Amino acid sequence: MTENPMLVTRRRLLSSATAIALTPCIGTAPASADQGGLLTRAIPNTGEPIPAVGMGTWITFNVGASEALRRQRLEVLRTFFELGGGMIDSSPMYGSSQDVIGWCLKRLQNKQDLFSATKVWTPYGASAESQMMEAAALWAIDGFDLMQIHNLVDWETHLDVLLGAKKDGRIRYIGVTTSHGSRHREMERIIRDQPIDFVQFTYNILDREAEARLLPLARERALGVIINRPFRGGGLFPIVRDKALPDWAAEFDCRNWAQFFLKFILSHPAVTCAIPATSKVAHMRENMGASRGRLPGPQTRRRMQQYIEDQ
Amino acid sequence: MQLPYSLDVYRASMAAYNADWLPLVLLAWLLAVFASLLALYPRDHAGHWASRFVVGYLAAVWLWIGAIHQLGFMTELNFMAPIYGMAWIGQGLLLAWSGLYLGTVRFDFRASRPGAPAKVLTLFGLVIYPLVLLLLGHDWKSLPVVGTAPNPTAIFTVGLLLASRDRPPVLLFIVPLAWAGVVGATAYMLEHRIDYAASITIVIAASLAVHGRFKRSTATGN
Repeated sequence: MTENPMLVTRRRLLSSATAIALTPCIGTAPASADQGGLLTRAIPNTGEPIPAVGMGTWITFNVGASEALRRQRLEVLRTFFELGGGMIDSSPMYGSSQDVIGWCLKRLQNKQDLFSATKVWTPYGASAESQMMEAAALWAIDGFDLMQIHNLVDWETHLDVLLGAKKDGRIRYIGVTTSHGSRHREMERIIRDQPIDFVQFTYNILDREAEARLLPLARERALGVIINRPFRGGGLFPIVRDKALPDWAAEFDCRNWAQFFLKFILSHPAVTCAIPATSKVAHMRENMGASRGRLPGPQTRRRMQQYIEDQ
Repeated sequence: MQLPYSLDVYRASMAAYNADWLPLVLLAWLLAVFASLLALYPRDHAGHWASRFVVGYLAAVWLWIGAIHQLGFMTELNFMAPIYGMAWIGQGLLLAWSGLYLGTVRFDFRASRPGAPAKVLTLFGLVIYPLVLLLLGHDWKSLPVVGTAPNPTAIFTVGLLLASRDRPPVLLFIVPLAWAGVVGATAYMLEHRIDYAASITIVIAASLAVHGRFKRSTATGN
């Protein structure tokens, strides 16, 4: 959807092979594949693999018309793709972020593994169709891999539009999003009753409400799960400022706190992709490091959780 | 809670905005100086033209900031900007209607002298606010100034309204008060502390305007 359909990319090859291999597993647990050192997860209802660490664009890519700031973000995005990034998630709510991403994409060569994801957001009554078309034009793509309904705003109206677009082949997957732990009950109802492919919500080492119902329910319904606010909007880092990683973090190949927080999330079996946002190349390198190496097991996850709560 | 943009992005964007509109930024500030002199030091022979000039200037800059700064510039960064833009345009129209058409805002030395609060607030918006930002390390190219940027303009406006001869209509303080809330919230989210002062000064001005209204009514026995 995002690129020329005749172009053979790593994603397409893996998608074909993995889909065949995982057919018996679809609907159970998303597979974690180690593709040349890169952690990928299979989208449950199709088996298509995507890198487990994506990129969010809330605040970080909303830089307006400043060419200097856009060029800085270009380097962040270049690093993202160089280190195996796939999903980029944006929204019309994020100011100029969609525009800036499109500007950057036009200037990058190695973006064939892009998994394009954005949202429709219409609190002022705008048209979902026009938002989708505008976003696709900004990113210079024929259509999005994933289109989501942002914060469940007017979801009943937009779901029909998105289903129509999916049927026409203009988008490949449909999703709904919330954040900050809000509207989980409504999201549960949507997960149970509606024909969606992805859900996106907040989950991190301190905000774990989703463990009780949303994560198991999404897994049961074979939905892709995208995690936003993996660092609590940056709020996790002050907790560990000036503190060294515990020695046992090396057991799961963790080199910094960003990886500690991300690997906690990625080690949950229901999670497909986490989308940390950053405006810095160095932080992008740290984040992408979480898509390599081992993940903590259940016991270690509990230990990680306790360690942070005790700080 | 977070704004959809960071402080450094806002500053970079203000620098671009000021550069795009530089002649107008300078002209608007100079006209603000002139308007403040007319309002704070009115002369008998000036007649109504001075009052009309001041109110007309205020109406014009609120309309400009609503249409150009908020709807035209900030909409790219902030999904709330269209609402703010409409509020600023509404205030501009209100100033024009109330101040110009109905003549409810006049500056006249014979009836009363502008008190210290009016002078301090006007000076704060006109000079002190951008000066403090400069001293705090703000790049001069991105300085928000009266006439083309919302925060100093809101402070300047309530300062001048306090200097008016008659009780300024309370209606003219509603949007500035709402803006004080926006400024305070922005100060918190961007950790931009001077805007706490901006927010508080607008609230104080509105309180003084209402208090002054109450005091005048009591003095005349109404």
